[in-house]
Parts: sequence; structure tokens; C-alpha cells
Amino acid sequence: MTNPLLTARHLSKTYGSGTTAVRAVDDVTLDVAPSEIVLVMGPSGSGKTTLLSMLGGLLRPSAGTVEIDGIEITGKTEAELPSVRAVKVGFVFQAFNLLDALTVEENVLFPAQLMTGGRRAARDRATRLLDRLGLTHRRTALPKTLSGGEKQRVAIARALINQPPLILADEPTGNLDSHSGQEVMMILHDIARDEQRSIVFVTHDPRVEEIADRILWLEDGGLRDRKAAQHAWVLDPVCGMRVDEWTAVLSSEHEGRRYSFCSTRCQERFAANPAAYAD
Amino acid sequence: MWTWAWKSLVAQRAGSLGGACGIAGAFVLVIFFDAVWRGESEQIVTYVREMDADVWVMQRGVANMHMASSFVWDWKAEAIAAMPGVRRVTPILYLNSVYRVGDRRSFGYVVGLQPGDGRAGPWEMTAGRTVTAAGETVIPAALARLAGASLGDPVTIADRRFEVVGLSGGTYSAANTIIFVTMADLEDMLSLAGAYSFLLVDADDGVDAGALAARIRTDVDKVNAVTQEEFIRNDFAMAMQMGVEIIFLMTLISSVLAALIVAFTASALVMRARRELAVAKALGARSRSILAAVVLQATVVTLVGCAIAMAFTLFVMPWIPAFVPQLTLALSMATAARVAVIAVFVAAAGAILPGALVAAVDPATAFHR
Repeated sequence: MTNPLLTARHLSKTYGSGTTAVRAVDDVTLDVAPSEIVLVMGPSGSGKTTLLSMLGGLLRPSAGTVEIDGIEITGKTEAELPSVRAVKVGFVFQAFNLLDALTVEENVLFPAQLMTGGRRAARDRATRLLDRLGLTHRRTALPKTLSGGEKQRVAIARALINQPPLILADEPTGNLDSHSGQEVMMILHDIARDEQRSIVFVTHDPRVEEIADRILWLEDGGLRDRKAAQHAWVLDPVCGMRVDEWTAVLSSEHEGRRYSFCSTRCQERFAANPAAYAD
Repeated sequence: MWTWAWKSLVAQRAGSLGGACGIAGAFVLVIFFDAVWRGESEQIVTYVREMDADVWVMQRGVANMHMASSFVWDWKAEAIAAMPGVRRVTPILYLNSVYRVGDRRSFGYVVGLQPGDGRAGPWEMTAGRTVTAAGETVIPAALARLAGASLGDPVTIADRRFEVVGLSGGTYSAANTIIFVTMADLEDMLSLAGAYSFLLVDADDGVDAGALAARIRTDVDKVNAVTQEEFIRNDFAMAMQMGVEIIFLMTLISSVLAALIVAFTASALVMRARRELAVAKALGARSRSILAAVVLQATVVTLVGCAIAMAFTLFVMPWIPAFVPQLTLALSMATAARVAVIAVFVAAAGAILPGALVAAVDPATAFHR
């Protein structure tokens, strides 16, 4: 591997103490190369989000170090961390997390005000990003008027406005239908390839495996080798999408049979009328 | 952050406006209490101001009229009248007493006039005439309206009954009601003869009032003499001195109330925007930038509250005495300036709690689903 962009060494996070201590992340060591797309998968409660928070400097590890683009962030003070985050990391959230009162363009420009030159210097870049992500006609719209796919595209543009070398994405397709999810996934893939940005995904969505350079499995706080039987493909009974039954966290029982789903939306539709979808 | 602070404040305009109205209510209380006290204090000196004497003479040791007792022998009045530069001396008797008009019982200042005296009597008659004979009284028209009394109705002052022969204007307020009777009636009530309470001295043209007052103090034994301006100043200072602690207390309570409302409003804004603030922190916004944005929001809400209070003060408060005649309100620019200064401190104090909330926002919660 060339010089890694992201390095995590013996990263641990423990919540609580004594007999009630919970080790959410346990001695994780990880390198991510420039332009690499790394997928972190694992069951719910396995520590994926805790790991992502520590990699992005949002959460202090109990032990271990994180280095991004040559900057050791675990040694930074609370006052120093925001500028590192603003410059080095772009975040994409499952719930989009756009600022409701701001327009699409203002949301995209929000992190730019934390940089030298502020919003003015970033305005041209924002225009290009909005154009690339097909949002030019929505630049003055408020988030509440956008579809889920549009919101996530705005969030991606916001994550890229400061041109960070690392993107951390937490279930970026989790709240999207299959079409929008596919679209967002391909946008992130293109960004990694075209702009040489590293992306760490935390997801349950097996479709993301298609664009990942590497897949890591997190279980009980520790990174494990992926099991030999990598997939147990089944079809989502609602949308017909391929779902890995082995890793899927969204599943329901109906008449003694277990069904797995690609998204909460499909699961909810199934729950509303299982007879319409069950075999 | 400024754009976010402003736009999120506008987006939550109902809550923000509610907070601003609450703050306005607290500020209106400050302005109202101050205006009431100033108005009452002004009313206390109304009689002295309207009489417009050059010099007021009273018993030595007395320097004001409000709630004061003073006795000056009648021969001293004659001595002053004979002094060079004195055009006229008008004596009055003055008593603080309880009165009853209809069902209304209160405390007032009773001024005893020499029959037919047009100098020291009511300066504005809205009905009837001034007192000319024993058993007659002139009461404030506002008091008559409140008590449902009219000309010819009985009024009890202390233990004596009088008949209303006139209604005067500008002589009634919650703290100072001026009732006129004849001097003979008041002498009888006080079991007093050959003495007055105060002397109104009018000087000849060109005579300096201050110099005349000084001469009276020197030449006439055991009297005090002050100019009209000094007499008003003394009375006003006395009234304000009595009320300054009350005003301070009211201002303090209202300011604390306003600060609490600011704190509540800004905290509510922070709590509602907790997730957005976590996102802002995750994206690289510093706590101090977010705090500045919250302080801006608190300041805007406070200033809007201040503006609402001022508008209410300017456009609504002047109408209050028309519906509540016992209230005399005096609005002052000093009060408005004080409220503006208080508003700055209120906004700062009110931002402390939300500031602590901002500091406590964990950026990692941006990942919560």
C-alpha cells in the first residue's frame, strides 16, 4: 500500500467502567489508501458508528491513535479538532442532516465558511458541485422540498465543498429507495475515482460491495476476517433487490418464514400488507 | 453561522416572537412602574407648580409640602407682606386627611382657602365654582366620576361633612388628591387660629426670587423661604427618594424575569436545533462560533422584545389614564434608555444557559439515526 491517507492503530472505545464497562470498539487497526473505497460492515451494535466517529475526530478513543493525511488527530485539543474536521474530512449521514433553514446552496457552502476565504471563495466550487450532482435547478430550494435522493446529493456536495481527502459515510443509502441508493452509491464511487478521495462506508447495503475496494467486517467491536461463506443472497420481497441474508439487519417473520429487506421503507411496506409480498 | 442563526430564527418565528413578547411584557413592566412613579411624583408637585409663586414660606425646618406639616403665625405673613419687593402674600392652610366620597374612601391633601381667594385655589374648574362659604368643598372631577358623585353631593373629610360646589381638573391621582375647603373650616377642624401652613409670595417685577427668599429667611424669625423651583425640586426629590427602592426592586424583578425569558427562549432554540448544532460541530464549526450565533439569536429576540415594549409604551400607554383616571403616567426618555441598557445585559445573561447547552452538544450525535 502507498502511504495510507487514514491510519488507525489499536483503536479502542470503552463506555462506562468497572463491571458495567462496554467495549464498543476493541483494538482496531486500519489503513486506508488514497482513493480507496473501504466498506465496514457488521451487525447492529457492532461498533461501526463508534469507529466512524473516532476516525472522523468526533469521538475521543479510549486508546489508540488516528492519523489523517499526516495529522495525528487523537492528540489534538477540542479547540483544534474542528479545523481538522473542516479541512480533512467530509461527512455523509444516513439521515442527510441538512440544515433546515438554509437553501441547498447555503447548505453546500456551510463548511466553506470555516475555511480561509469563506463562502465567497467556495461559491464557484459549489456551483460546479451542484451542476455535477444535478442540483443546479434546486439551489434555492429548502431541504423540506427535496426528495431523499436529492437531500443525500446535497449532503455529498456539502461533504466535498472543502475538498477533503477523506469522506466518511454512515449508511448513505439507508434512507433511500433502491434507485436513489444506486445513484448515490455511483456518485460516491465516481468521486473516489475522479477526485482521488478515500471513502470509508459504514453500511448494511450489499450493493455497496460492488464499488468497494475492500470489505471489513466489524463484530463485537473488533475487525474480523470476513467469513468464508461470503453471501447468502435472497430477494427483498418488496422491491426485488438482492439482499445478503447473512448480513442483513432488516428482517421480519411471516407465517414461519423469514424475509430480509434492503431498507426500512421496504420493511414497513411489507409489514403493512405481508400477504401482498409473501411467497 | 450568521446566516444559519438568522434564518433558523426566522424559521422558528412563532416561538421567537412568543419569547420576544414575553420579554416585551417584562420591559413594559419596568417602563410602566417607572412611568407610574414618575407620574405620581409629578402629580405630587402639581399644586406647587400650578400656583407659580415666586417664593414659598413655611415653618423653619420644613423644605417641602408633600406629607409635611408647617405652621406660620399670621403676623409673620403680615411682616413679609410689608417687606420691599413683595407684591402679594397668599396664605393657605394644608392638611393630610382621610376623605369619603360616595363609597370611595381614601387619603388626600386638603387645602384651606380664604373665601373668594382665586390665587391659591383650583386652577381648572370643570363644573361649579370655588369655595366661598363654610361647609363647601371642591373635589377633583376624576374622583367624582369614579365615585359617582356630582355637584351638591356630600363629602366627608375627617369627621366633617361638606357639600360639593365645584369639580376641579388636574387634581387627582392615586397618590395625591387635592381637595379645597375654606380656611375657616380647616381652622375649625384643626382647632387652630392665627396661623397658616404655607405662604405664597409674589414678588414685584424685577425682584430676584432667590434674593427675596434669602431676605425673608434672614428678616423673619423661624421661617424657611425657598423659591418655586427649589420647592418643587425638594418635593420631587422627596417623592422619588421614597420610591427609588421600589423602582429599583421592580426594575430588578422585571429584568430577572426578562433574562429568564431570554434564557428560556434561547435554550428552546438551542434544544430544537440540537441536532443541527451537532451537525455544525461535526462539519467543523467551533463552539465559540455556534455560541456567537446563539448570542445573536438571543440579542435579536431581546431587541425585538425591547422594540415591542417601546411601541407599546409610545402608542398604548398614553391611553391608559383615560380608562384608569387614578393613574398619572410620566414617560421619560431616561427610562427608555435605561431599558435599552438593561436589554443588553438581559441578552448577555439570558445567553449563559443556552451557551452551556451549546458547549454540551456532542458532535458525534450527528450520527444518531
